[in-house]
Amino acid sequence: MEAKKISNAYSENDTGHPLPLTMTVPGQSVTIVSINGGRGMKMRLYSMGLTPGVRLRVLSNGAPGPFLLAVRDFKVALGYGMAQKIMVR
Amino acid sequence: MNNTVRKKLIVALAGNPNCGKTSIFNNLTGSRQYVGNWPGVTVEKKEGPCIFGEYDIRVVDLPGTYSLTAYSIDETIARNFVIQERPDVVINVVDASNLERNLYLTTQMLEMEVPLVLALNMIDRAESRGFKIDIGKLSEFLGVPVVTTIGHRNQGTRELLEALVSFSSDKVSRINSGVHYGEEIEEELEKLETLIKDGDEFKDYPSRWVSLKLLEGDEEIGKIMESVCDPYSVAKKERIRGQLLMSQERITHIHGEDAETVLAEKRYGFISGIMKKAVTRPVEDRLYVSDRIDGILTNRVMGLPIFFGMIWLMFKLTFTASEPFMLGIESIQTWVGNSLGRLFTEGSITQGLVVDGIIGGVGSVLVFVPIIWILFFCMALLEDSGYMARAAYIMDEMMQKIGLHGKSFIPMVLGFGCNLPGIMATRTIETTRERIITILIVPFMSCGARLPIYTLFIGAFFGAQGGTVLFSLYLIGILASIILAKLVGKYMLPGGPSPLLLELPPYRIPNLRGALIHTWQRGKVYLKKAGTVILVGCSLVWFGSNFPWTLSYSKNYDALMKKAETEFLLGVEKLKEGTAEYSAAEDAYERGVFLLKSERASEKIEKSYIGTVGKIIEPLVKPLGFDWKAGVSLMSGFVAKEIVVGTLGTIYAVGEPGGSSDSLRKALQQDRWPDGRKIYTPLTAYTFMVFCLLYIPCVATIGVIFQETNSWQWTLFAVFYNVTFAWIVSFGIYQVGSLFGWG
Repeated sequence: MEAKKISNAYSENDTGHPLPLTMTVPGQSVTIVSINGGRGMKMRLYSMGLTPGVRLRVLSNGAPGPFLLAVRDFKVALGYGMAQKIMVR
Repeated sequence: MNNTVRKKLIVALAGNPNCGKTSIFNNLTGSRQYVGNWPGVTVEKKEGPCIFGEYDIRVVDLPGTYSLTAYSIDETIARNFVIQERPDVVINVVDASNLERNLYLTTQMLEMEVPLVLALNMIDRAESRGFKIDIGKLSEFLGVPVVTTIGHRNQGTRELLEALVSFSSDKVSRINSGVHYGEEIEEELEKLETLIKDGDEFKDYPSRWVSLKLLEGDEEIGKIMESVCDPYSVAKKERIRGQLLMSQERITHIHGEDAETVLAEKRYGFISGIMKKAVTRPVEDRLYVSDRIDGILTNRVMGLPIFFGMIWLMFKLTFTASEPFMLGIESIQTWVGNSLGRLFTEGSITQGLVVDGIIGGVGSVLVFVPIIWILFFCMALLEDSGYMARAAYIMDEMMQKIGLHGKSFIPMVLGFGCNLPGIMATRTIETTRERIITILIVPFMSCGARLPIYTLFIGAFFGAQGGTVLFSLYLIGILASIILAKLVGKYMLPGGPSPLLLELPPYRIPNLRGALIHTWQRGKVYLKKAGTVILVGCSLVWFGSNFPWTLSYSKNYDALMKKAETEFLLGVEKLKEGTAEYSAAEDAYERGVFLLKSERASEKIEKSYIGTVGKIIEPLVKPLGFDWKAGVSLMSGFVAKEIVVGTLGTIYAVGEPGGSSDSLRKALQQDRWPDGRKIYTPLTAYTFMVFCLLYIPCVATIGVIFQETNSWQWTLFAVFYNVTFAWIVSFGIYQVGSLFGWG
């Protein structure tokens, strides 16, 4: 019952094709569509709250260095390699 | 209630990193903590006793984790402890201002069916940020007792203890709640559970949890299942495996995503459901003070200089503030040595053993304590303030290039001051791979103790180019560390740097009490573990340079000194004390005795075991341009690198190194091989300095490497690698240099 709520996040902004997170600019708010990584990487990201459907704000695009994101009330730094594998829109 | 029998409870603390778990642990246990390692791994284990009413509580601090998968050691440790040790209560500390993500771990704890008490920590910060949390509702939806705490102000500790005590004594009141995964998944879970319950491979595990872990593709649970081999179970294993594949396929078919993704989404869905009902959120996108500070500290232009400024300040403070303490320890050591020395016969073995062996050894252990304390105090404050995470973020890009990540940078920088705290600081690196590599490369950072060697040789052979030479040495150390990091990363610990995924917690005023407890623990661990290794190492070198105890000297030094004394007394018989002639004669006499003593010391070390070994290994150091004297001083430098200078002083019979560095410089400049060539040319001197920079971590560093890697293999590897590497580099420099005629 509670579980259904997560799908609402999708409907907020679903125009356009998914892009890798590395294509975003600071200040942009995007929704994670999918994570193209191995199981280990996915589980790490999920445990940090970065799941498909979650809204996040890009604070800094550090290419080629780490990214800084605001998600679920906290800030997280994320390596460039990982950012490439996160598809957002 | 029976007041005569004390009740025992085991309580585990679980929570995300940065949730304030450590301060809750400190509040519960005070400073009575035991710090060690979890068996077989290098992850720190902390536990401590807590006495509350009629209860003796053993509090175990689990590693801070975001989840309970089998993908990191920390998480495996946490969940194995919960499953195998079955603590009476698990306190799940959550950061109230960051509830949504913190509750992800909670949902997994609930799935493990452990008795849980939720400590809603940092409630003050959550409230100041505009979060309103309905404790009653939160407790109701999660099905666990909830207590609000402010860890760093020691508020809510009593309430927390009361809650866990009443919870543990009243096990019936537990409502088992948890995530409902939706009809389709629940159906699959039920099928798996039925199969799992039928048999006893998993009898120690909650069957629903095992089913979930199997669906997630958890490797460790998978391994337990695979390890079953008796014929009856093999058939059952096949059935489970078949069902698992079917269930995973069905979930993927329905949801369009793999099972682990769906499960994670469902958990967060469950959490956002609770959040909507129990938490009133602040207006979105408010800029907090923390964000403003981050605008400056993590700024791409200003971030780096500010970071280096901070490090420099910390260094300056540490070495300035620790100097008087170190001098104090040294003078106490001398005083104790002198006073105790008087109890024994002058020059006896027992005197030597007590004064030079034992007290000298203890002194070399203690002398590092002030540095370790002050540096770790500063580090604890920086860590607690939230800045260390930013430092790792700032440095990550650069460190990824050598196969490490941002967190490895701080230990490397600390290494320039002293390798010990550098290696101890690697505890903040979560992954074993990066941690081991960092530990191995820190000894290449040219520490302060190597400076006296450089000073001596640069002064004697380089003069005006001294600055450039010194700079090149530091650079060689850094290059060596990069090469080693790359080599070890490629051949011994393959796998590439783990990508950065790091929470930047909000800034806060660091907690003084927590920092002090942390600092105290660091010192204690160092004394306990590294101290032993250092003592053994020092004793070995002391033994090597003092034995055989009775030597047949080439001259009878005692008789010569006696003779000099008699001559002096006869000579001054007619002179009055205080006249110029008298003091001239006295000076001449004292100089004579001093020379005799120096000569004896020189001969003693030449004929000692260490001198004998030095001569045996001369063919090994000869290709580097060194003679046996250099070899011996290098061996004694094992205790501490600055001792190399002292030993050279003794061998060249110039007496104490402090007073006569000028004469030592001259002695080095003039020393010749039997064929008349000079031993030390600028090339040899440079090679010698490079060798000293790279060759072996001092015994204290070796002790700490052992303490931190918890492995003799890595410790020995560090020693052998460094010596080999130093030899190859020095050989290259000396031979190429000789080829070009720089010798």
